[in-house]
Amino acid sequence: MATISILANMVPTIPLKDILSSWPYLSTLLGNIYFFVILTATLSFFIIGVSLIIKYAPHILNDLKNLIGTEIPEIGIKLWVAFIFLIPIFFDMGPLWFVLWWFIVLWGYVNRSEKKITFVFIFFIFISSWIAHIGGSFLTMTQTHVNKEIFMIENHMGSIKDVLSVASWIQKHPDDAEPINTQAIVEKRKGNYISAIQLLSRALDLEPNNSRFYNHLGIAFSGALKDREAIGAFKEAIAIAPDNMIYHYNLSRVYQGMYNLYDAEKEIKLASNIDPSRLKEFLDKEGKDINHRFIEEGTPVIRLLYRQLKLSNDLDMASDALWDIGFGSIDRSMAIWLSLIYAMILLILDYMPKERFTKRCSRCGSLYYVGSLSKKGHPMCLQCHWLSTKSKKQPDYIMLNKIEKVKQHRTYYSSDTATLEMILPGMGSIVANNTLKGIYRVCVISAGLIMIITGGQFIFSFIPTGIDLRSIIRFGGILMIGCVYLSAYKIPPIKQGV
Amino acid sequence: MALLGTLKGFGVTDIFQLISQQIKTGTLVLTSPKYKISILFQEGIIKGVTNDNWATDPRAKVLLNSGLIGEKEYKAALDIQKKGSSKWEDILISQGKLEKTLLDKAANIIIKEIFLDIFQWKEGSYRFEDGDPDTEAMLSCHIVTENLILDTLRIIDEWPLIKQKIPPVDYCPVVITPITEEIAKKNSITAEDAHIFDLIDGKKTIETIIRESLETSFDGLSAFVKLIDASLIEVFPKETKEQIDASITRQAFWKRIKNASVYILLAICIAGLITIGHPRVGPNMFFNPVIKEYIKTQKDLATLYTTQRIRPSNSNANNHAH
Repeated sequence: MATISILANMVPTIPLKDILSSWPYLSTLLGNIYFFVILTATLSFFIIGVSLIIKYAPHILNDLKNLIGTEIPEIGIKLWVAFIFLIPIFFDMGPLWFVLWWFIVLWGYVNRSEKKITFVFIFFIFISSWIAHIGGSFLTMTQTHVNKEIFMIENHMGSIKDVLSVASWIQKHPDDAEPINTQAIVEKRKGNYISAIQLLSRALDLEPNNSRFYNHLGIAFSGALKDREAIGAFKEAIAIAPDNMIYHYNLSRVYQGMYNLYDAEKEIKLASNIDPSRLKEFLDKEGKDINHRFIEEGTPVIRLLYRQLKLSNDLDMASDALWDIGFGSIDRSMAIWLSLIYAMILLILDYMPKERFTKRCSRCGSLYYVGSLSKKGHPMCLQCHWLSTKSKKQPDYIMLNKIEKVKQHRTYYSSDTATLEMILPGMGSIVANNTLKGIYRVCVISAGLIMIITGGQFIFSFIPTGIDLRSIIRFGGILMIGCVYLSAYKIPPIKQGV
Repeated sequence: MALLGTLKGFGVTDIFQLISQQIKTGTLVLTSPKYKISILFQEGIIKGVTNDNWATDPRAKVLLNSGLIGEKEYKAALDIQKKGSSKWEDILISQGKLEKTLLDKAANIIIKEIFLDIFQWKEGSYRFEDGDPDTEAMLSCHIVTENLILDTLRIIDEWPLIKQKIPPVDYCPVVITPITEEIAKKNSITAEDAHIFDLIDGKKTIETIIRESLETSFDGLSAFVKLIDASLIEVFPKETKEQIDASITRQAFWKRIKNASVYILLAICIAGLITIGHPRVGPNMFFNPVIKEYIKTQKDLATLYTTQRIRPSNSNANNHAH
């Protein structure tokens, strides 16, 4: 199979900006960006979940020990804790179920900023069905609503198979105006102007305000030598979209054909006022090839993007499959209910007495149950809270002792979290209650990993561009991860001596 | 009148901190719905405490409960106190029936428990005024206020942790392993813990030992929890030596069963979940075959158009719709 660089042939006629406004490329680009963002978010949630387990597993262990008693061997309790966290592994559940489950188990322990992550996650679940739907639309863009066929035919690349597909679609979906317009274009190109006029009239019955259809109707009328009707159709198009220079240009061509040079000139002037360079391009083309006398207008990219989002069996299957990768186990239609039930469970858990959950003082590191919160919402034992809110410090034996304990904890904690940060940037920051920095680093590391693994390519443009950016994206991913590691090394979660 | 208000607006710790920082001298009167407590401050240091509910000297009650003085001896000393000018405690000390240190320890318990109580008050009022209260009923002490705040807050912090592990106080503790230097170091056994350990004789209940030790309830109970956690002692219902021995054997057996059951139950749970659940394993663990198929279709189409040399720019190509 020979691979031909399409771009090499396209460069002289289509600049890069036009490639990006072409539906297959734009949709593929958007799709790849979309999958990249969603996958990064999913991986970030998962890593944040793992970080929270590392942070709070000792707390759970302590509570279980208190609950069961000290007679049970510690290794047994540790195994039980591991089992609790890994329960979703026994079911057909995706990585997001794990995160969901971990947040439930850890809800009594997490601090204020970590709870905010949970709220974002609940929102993520709430919209997950739509996320999967949009993702599915990028996967099935060539297979639904004859979009590919419409694009190929309009761009003079359609095959007989494409024409037949459009015809078959029109029979099954008589209320879909866009393929009818495409069919009319096919008929017009064949010279069957009457048939084209009939089809376009049908399309206009369905969408009376579509200026594009009026433009094509005008061209068909002109082909059928019905200049007066053609002028009427072009004028209708101009009335709907007065800023579209194509309609003025086409109208001027009709006038010119009728030797009404005054009106032809007038329309050319109007077209020139809107887009002179494009007008020049059209006139040049017409000079070289008479077939370019009238300008057809392709389906706007936004319309094709909208069409690919429309429901279909293929889209449903792809969306379900995407949802299954992330969640699975239950139907995609249950996503909203899942998020609501999840929020309700967390709300109920919020009513559990706070004293039942072990907390670790963010200042001295001691485990406690009652305590208080610092200004930033981090847990603090009553002694540290009192020491930190004291307006004037009068050092004495007990206080010095406590301050020494705080220093010792800080030294131990800073080295511990720095090690974690070097294992996986962001993890140490989350453990050190530096949640925002942690989230930022986790997101960057996730993005970097996704870039390296996938090269930024999830879906493929059905018309190849000839450009392969995977190596560059992978290099970008390596660079990003390198930068995060450097930043984690230079700016550890807790600065020693502060 | 220098300071007045309710405890809802200004917490007890804040009041104590303020008096300590300002190095004030005077009496702080704290009133709750139950009782009224007066604390004497001298240059910010706590010098004495009194409670309105004290009909008699509270130290006597502590000493009597601990069995350190007898009921008869105490009454005799009180009789002498009524006749003369000496106080009952001085009389007992002079008679050699009471040690000064034990009296101070008893006072220490009362003061600590009072402060522990008032630091948890959520409602009530306070009044700080110059001058001494009725010093007759006042327990004198010398406590640095900030130390007291920290120590009391430590107890409030740690109490829920200890509370869950406290054994029934009418149970008898029995020594399982003697304390060695190594064990003491490993389990951070303090002098108070060792004192409690020394009082264990297999007959006395936890409650009796704490009373005899002249430690506060918190310190006594936390010592017991620490000793149990370190497997130095075990507690049993008050029984005979034979019954305790049998109980130890029985407990050792159940302990083994319990240990084994932790693993057995875990294994059953895992096996059960594997049976009822459908773990996501295999090559499609992270990638759904449907998705693979759709991506393959896109790829195939791209390959097809590549071989057909189809490109959007080539409007004059022979691939027209007709």
